[in-house]
Amino acid sequence: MSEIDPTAFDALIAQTGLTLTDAQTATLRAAYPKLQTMIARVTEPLPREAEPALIFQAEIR
Amino acid sequence: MAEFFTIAEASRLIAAKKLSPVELATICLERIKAADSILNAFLMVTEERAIADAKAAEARIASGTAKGPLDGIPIAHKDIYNTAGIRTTAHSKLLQDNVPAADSTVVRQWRDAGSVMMGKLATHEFAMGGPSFDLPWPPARNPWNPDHFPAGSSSGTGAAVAAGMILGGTGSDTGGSIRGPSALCGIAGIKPTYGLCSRAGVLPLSFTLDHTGPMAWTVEDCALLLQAIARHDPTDPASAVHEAPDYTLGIDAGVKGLRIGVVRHFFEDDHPASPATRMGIDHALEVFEHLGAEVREVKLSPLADYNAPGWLILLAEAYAVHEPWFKTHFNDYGELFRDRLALGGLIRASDYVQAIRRRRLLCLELQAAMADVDILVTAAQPAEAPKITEVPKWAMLDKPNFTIPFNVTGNPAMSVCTGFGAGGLPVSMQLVARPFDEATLFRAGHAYEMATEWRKKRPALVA
Repeated sequence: MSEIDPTAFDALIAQTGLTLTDAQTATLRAAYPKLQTMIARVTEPLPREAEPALIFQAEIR
Repeated sequence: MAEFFTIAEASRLIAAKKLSPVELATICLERIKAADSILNAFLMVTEERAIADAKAAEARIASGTAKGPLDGIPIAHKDIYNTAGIRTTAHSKLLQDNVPAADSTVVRQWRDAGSVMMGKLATHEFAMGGPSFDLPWPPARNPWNPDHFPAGSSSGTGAAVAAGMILGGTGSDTGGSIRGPSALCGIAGIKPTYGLCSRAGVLPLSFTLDHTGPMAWTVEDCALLLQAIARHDPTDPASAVHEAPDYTLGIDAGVKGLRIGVVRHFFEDDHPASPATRMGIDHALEVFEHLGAEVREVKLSPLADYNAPGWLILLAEAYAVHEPWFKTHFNDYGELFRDRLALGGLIRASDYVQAIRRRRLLCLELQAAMADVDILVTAAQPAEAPKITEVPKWAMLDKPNFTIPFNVTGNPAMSVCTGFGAGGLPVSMQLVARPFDEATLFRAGHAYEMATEWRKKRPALVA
């Protein structure tokens, strides 16, 4: 995963509204590429009918 | 040292009036006094309550009004379960003075079943931030070697059960927090089907992945503990309307004719497990075949494909839970929880939605894969417990874990000890069943435990 654009990362941090120290921001910046790898795995194209299932349906045996 | 009892053994002896609940509670309290300064499994020992509960159980048994198999059995609760009038902290500075007014549903159900409450158990902060050394209480340690990690987040429960300080306890499992500590502490622990047991009164981490469930020394004991809590609770919005069977009824039926699928690529290719872990699983499969089960291989999507939606959903939902406190008390959290969860604030809404769409496809995939098998077998942990000081902050992002796939799908899953590795610490396997088929899980796990010797060995620290 390529490194995130610093401006885009700063925008994400700003959106949280959290007041972070430079060290805390650096920690998150270092870990963020790993999160991006996970995001990439779920954002591959899905069929339109792949809707979230919010009701658990028990199997009848 | 005093004898160790399983719940099943103690229950039989108590019913036959050969073991007094007060005597049993005293044995456990003495073990706590002897070993908990090393293990840190308890955040609070409720000694007076334990003796009072034990005396009440003893009176019921004497008068012929015993409540059932949990009457007089010493248990304790992970400190995210609300306990009326007893501090419930989530192992966090933020809740260090929090005293709930009411019991959580599961606490009440075990209390109503006659259990003896020994206290509140260590957890990772808010069930995710650990092992942490910057909290008001130290982290729990592994009774097989206190320099090592007991896993988490139900770390105190794993340590206390393995050390015989309690006979069973509550855990919660959002990405593996029952099965991880059960595996690394060498005990049994079940994450039931999503919705089978109430989460009401338990501090949430991730609404759609959180499960409550029991941990104990044996599979049979887990069945006895689950029996008391497997019921619909209208106060939990995710509670299923499902009538649980008697889990002990067929537990001795063996595995003859059972179809067992092994998800080998999870622990051989996707996240290669240690030789001892693989050997334990292979030996377990031989045991199952010897007992008459049919074993075949099952292929699923790569482990990382299950982990990605699991962790994204967990982090996003947990961030939503904690966001108000994050904005006002960010630096009151421990470093591990704070840093891990802050990542959740960076997940976009569309990424969360894609994750729950992906989740549905994975549920369908697993359902199809289990159409022709009754049980899946895979790893529960990659290896023996690491040193407690060597657990990476980003472990959950570095390598895919073996447990979160079944939080994603909601299937019941259980850790069972399969022996010991080169370092003398436990290794384990994970058994998975179809939704609401906990009975088959217990049947298979119990057959394995009865056919092997692992349940006879306790940690040297307390043996």
